[in-house]
Order: sequence, then structure tokens, then C-alpha cells
Amino acid sequence: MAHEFFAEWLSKAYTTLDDDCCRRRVEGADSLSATASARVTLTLVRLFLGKEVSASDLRAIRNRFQKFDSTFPMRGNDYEIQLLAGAVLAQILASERYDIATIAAMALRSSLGLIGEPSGIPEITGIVDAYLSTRSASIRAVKVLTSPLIRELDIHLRTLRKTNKSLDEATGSLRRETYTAAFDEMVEILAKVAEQYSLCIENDRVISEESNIHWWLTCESLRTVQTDLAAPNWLAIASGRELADLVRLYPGPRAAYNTLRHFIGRVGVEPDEVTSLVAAINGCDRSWRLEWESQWGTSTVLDLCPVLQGVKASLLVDQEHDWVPIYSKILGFDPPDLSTYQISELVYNECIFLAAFNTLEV
Amino acid sequence: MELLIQCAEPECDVATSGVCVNGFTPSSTCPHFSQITTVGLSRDPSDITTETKPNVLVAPEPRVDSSHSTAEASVCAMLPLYSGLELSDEEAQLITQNRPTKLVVFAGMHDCGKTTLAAEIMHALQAGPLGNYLFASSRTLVAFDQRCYRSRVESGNTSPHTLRTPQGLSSPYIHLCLREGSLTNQPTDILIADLSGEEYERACSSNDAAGEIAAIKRANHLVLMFDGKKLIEPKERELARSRPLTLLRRLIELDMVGPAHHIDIVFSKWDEVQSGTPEARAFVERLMVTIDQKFRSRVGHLVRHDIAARSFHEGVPAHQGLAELVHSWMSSRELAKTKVEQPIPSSDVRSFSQFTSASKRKKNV
Repeated sequence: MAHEFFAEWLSKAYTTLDDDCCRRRVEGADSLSATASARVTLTLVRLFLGKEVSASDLRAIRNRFQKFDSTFPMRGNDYEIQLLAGAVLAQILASERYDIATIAAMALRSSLGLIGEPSGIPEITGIVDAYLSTRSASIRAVKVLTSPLIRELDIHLRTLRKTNKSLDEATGSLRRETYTAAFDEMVEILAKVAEQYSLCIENDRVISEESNIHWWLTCESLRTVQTDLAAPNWLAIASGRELADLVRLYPGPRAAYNTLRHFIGRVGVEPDEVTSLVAAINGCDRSWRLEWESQWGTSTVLDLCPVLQGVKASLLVDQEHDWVPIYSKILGFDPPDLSTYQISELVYNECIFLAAFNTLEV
Repeated sequence: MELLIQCAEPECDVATSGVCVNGFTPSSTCPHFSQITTVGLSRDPSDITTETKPNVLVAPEPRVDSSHSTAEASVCAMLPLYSGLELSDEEAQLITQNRPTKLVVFAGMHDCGKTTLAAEIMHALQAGPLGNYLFASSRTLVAFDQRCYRSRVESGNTSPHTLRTPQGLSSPYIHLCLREGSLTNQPTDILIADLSGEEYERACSSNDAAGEIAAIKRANHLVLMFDGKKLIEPKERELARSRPLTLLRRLIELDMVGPAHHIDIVFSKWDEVQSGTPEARAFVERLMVTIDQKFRSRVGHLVRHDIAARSFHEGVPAHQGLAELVHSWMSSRELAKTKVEQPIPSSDVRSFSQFTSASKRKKNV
């Protein structure tokens, strides 16, 4: 079902949007949001953000809308396509296609952090935040385990054994019926046990994620860097990376941002102290950057990770500041001045997005 | 440039006789018939040897008349000529569908200075940057010039004058594309809906008439104009004050204006207000306080502009306030219609997840 603001958003591409046109676009958006793969979803993210997409991907999306409206233009309506992409993404976030929705939301949060809101759908940041927050809480909700099931299973097993002993050969048919009933009940119970077991595994993941993060926070040290933690430039980049490494379920915990801020403050750096992205990246040892970049440098979604692109660009040149023009050319703006906390948050968002993306088969 | 006729049928001599061997009338409808355009060929048939081009003759330049073929007519129909006049809805949509476009609606009663405001923005841009913004392009230069002409010396008028905007809603848009002086950002398209004051006067008294002004609902900026000259006249000030207020209230009640709109409150003819009595100026200030109290919380953003597009009084420069007004259009961000509520964690959430985000993300870096 289309988002409640669909017509509102689409009307920005029109001076007057007629009902019939709107209805046809809704049909196209419904169809796309119900079937979009992760790859198509990321194409929609790029379109919405005004980034470059391949001509064939763009044509495929236009074709989808043209299927419901033969007069849908195949060119000259770039802004309309941008708005439709955003509207479809909002619709995906409201659906129950959680894998796809999570990737869409994380890609948007990763990109929007630095480039800001694209034109047309100012509500998108709120929608993404609400989705990620709700989803994060829901996958980490306390799972109630019903341990008596094991006792029930045991009772059935005993009954079965007793039945087997008490019945003789002459009443074989009765024995079969008794066996069948007992087995059916056991299958049901075993399914429930399996369900409980998977809940145990999920609980275990959440608990291990929490305890790892707590240890990291308590120890006040970086796991991948032996350095003075009070050096804010290392801290800005490395803390975001390390927290993302500790996340086991996507999206990350709701408390991640507070944790980052707390961690930065605990080691003696003012989280809101302004530094520059250039200084933060250059402040990290080159070999550390190289090792890190080798983990994601060939990712196909790097264009949605503006800080990581900066790290990658910094490794293309020998001199510290020579990468800035390369970065500006790729992203269309100069690396900005940001606080230590803001940089760590951006790095965290980008890293968990990459990690979540890698869990999908696109 | 000349047209040559030729036919693929070997027996056909349409090139010389003009008659199609297959009997098609006109001969151009025959599938074997073709015309080619040549450059630099002589009009003298003797220059072309019959051995090499047996079916070719030099045709005169075609004349455009009512008898041209259907195919030619459809080609003509597909090539809209650039008129430079106001854009209709469909024409404006070609811009809005392609690029983010700011739609600015000038709203105000008859003779409050809506058209003059548009004309003087163009005049100011002709003289150089307006504030920090440069003229980049316009699809409606003729429409702008029609608004400007009566204010120029060449028009023969002894004082600047502006033509009245014709009534009707069919082609209300004038287009302007501006760019920041630093040339770092892309140009921004602005569509200005300049409707006649009579449309707004009808809208003041009728919901149906107000609902017909569709541009307002889509507008990014509603420029609500108060006639400064009338505000300082004791006999006229009450109507000059109340009618725009009624209009704004009606638009809000009809949900045509709301939290997603930027409202520019413009006191036009500010040179007249400046030269008015202290009591008249106090009246204007009280009016602004009323607007603030009644409407600020009901719209997205509300800003006051004192504008003297043309000044007839010393001490008040012409184009006063225009740069600030244009800056407010260019720099405004889109406003969310409704704030998306962030969910409150339910009771089954783990303690760790209850420490919610302390995010202070920096937007639009």
C-alpha cells in the first residue's frame, strides 16, 4: 500500500497532479515495492539520492511504471523518477520485507549522514530513523523460553516406551495407532523445541553482542589500534569501525549512538569538538587504513559510504592532502568539518551497512 | 537546398512526368517514392545527366501551405515553438518533472504590486547580481518583458506603470532560473505563479474559488502581499489589512497551506509606508504582530519582507528588499508536512536497547 504522503511527494514533480495519473503511479510503486530485490532497492536508493545508476537499471524501473501507464515518459522526468524512488523506498520500509527494508534503511542512513536530505521527501530521515529504531528493538526483544516443553517431551517418550511394553502382538493394529498418535504429538513438540532452540541462539547472539560492547566500553581501549586514545583523530574513525565490528544483528542496537558518544567521552575527548574529516582520516596510520580497506575496498556499494570513500581516496596518493581533490570530484563536495562524534557515527553507519549488505546474496 | 524526387521502380518516370506508375495520388504516398535534399545542386535540369540519374528531377523549394501532407503536419505539431510567454500547466510540468523546482505563488489583492514585484526582480537581475544570485536563464523572457515594458522610458509613460494581469488560471507561470554567484551549486529553477488580484478577491469570499487555485497547494513559498500604500490610508487600510488575512485563514482552513509551506509576508510599496505618519507605521507593526500570533504556529515558516520594488520617495532605494526575498526562496529547505514520530520502546525491550540514540547528525554539510 502506498505511503500516506505519496501524492504529496509526487505532486512536487507536477504543477497539478491529477487523480488518474497518481493512481497509475501508485500501482507502479506497489508493484515495485512488493518485488524489488536488494539490488533494485539499492538502485532506488541511488536514484533517490541523485547518484548515477546504469542506463539499463534506470530503464527497468521506468518500464515498471510504464507498465501501468503507457504515457509514462522514458526521459525528461528525472525528478519525478527521483521522487518515485523515494516513495517506493518509504513503502518498502513500511512493509514486512524486513531483509530488503533493513538494507534500504541502512543504505539511506549511511548516505544521508553526510550528503544531507535529497530534495522532495523531507520526511525520509524520520521514516528511516523510525524503521531502524523499531526493527532494532524488535529483533532484540526479550525472547521468552518455555522450558516445560522438555518435560512434556520426556513424558511422551515414557508413554511410548510403556505402550510398547504393555501391548502384545495380537493387538498390533492398536499399537500402530497408539504409536502414530504418540509420534504426531512428539513431532509437534519437537517443532516447538526447535523454535525454542532458535530463540536460544538469537538470545545468545544478542547477549554476546551486548557483553562484547560492554567490555569494549569498560576497557576504554581500541581493539585494533595500540595508540594514545586521547588522540581524537584515531578515535573518530577507529571507534566507529570497532563498534560496528561488534554488532551481530542488523540493524545495530538502538543504544549504539549513545555508546559511541559515551566511549569517546570516557577516554577524555570532547565528543562535540570539531575536527575535519581530512584530519581524521590522515590521523589514522596508513598501514591500518590499508588493512581496513582490504576488507571492503571492492564493495559494489561503496558509493553509498562517503567516509569510506575518503579513506579509499587517501590511499590512492602518497601525500596527506593530495586526496582531497579526488574526493571532491567523486562526491561533489569538499570533505567537511565535523565533530569527533559525528565522524565516528558516520563510520559506524557505513560499516554496519557494508556488513549487513555482505550477509545478503544480491 | 533543393528537393530531388526519385522512385525505386525502374519503369516509373515520376521524376519527369510527376505521374506515379502504380497510380498513387499524390505520388508521394507510393512506397517506392522518396525525396532527398541536396545542397549546392543547380536548379538547371540540364546539369543532371539522364544516364546517371534517370528518375531524378530538381523540385522547387516546398512552400508551406495548408495542403501539406498529414505526415508533415504531425511533424510540425511535434515541434513546439518557444514563445517566451507564460507557461501553461503542461509546459511548466516539463520543468518540474525534470528538476527540483521551487514554486512561488504571489497572492494578494488587485493592484497590490504582484506583477511589479516580478517585473522588478527581472529589472534588478538585468543590472547585475541580485544579492548573491545571478540570472541563469528563463523560459518566459517575453512574459517578463511584457511586465517590464510599461515601466521603461521607451514606453512613453511619464511614470513607471505595470499592465494588469489578465484574469484566468490557464497560463499562470513565469520561469526564472538563478544561480549562486560562486557558481558552485547547480542553478535553481523557480516558477512564479502570477495570478490576477481578482482571483484572490474571489478566493477570499468562496471556498470553491480558493480551491481552484491549485498552485497554492503545491507551492513551496506563498508570498502574501499587503499593499503598503493602502495600509497607510485611513480609509483603505481596513480592507487592505483584512482581505489578505481572510485569504490566508481560508487557505489554512482548506488545508491548502500548512506546515510544509514557507510564507513570505510582503509589505509592498514600502517607500510609501516609510513616508507615512508614525501612526500609520504603527498600524503596520500591529498588523505583523497579529499575523505572528494567528498564523506562525499553523504554517511551516513565516518571514516578513518590507519591499519597495519601485521607489518614488527619496531615502528608500528602488529594489529594496528584493534580494532578501529572492534569498529566502533560494535558501529555503523543504519542510516536512508531518514530523515522523519516533517509536517508544515497548516493555519487552532489553535494558541495553532502552538507551536510545544521542545522535546529533549534521545535515546538509
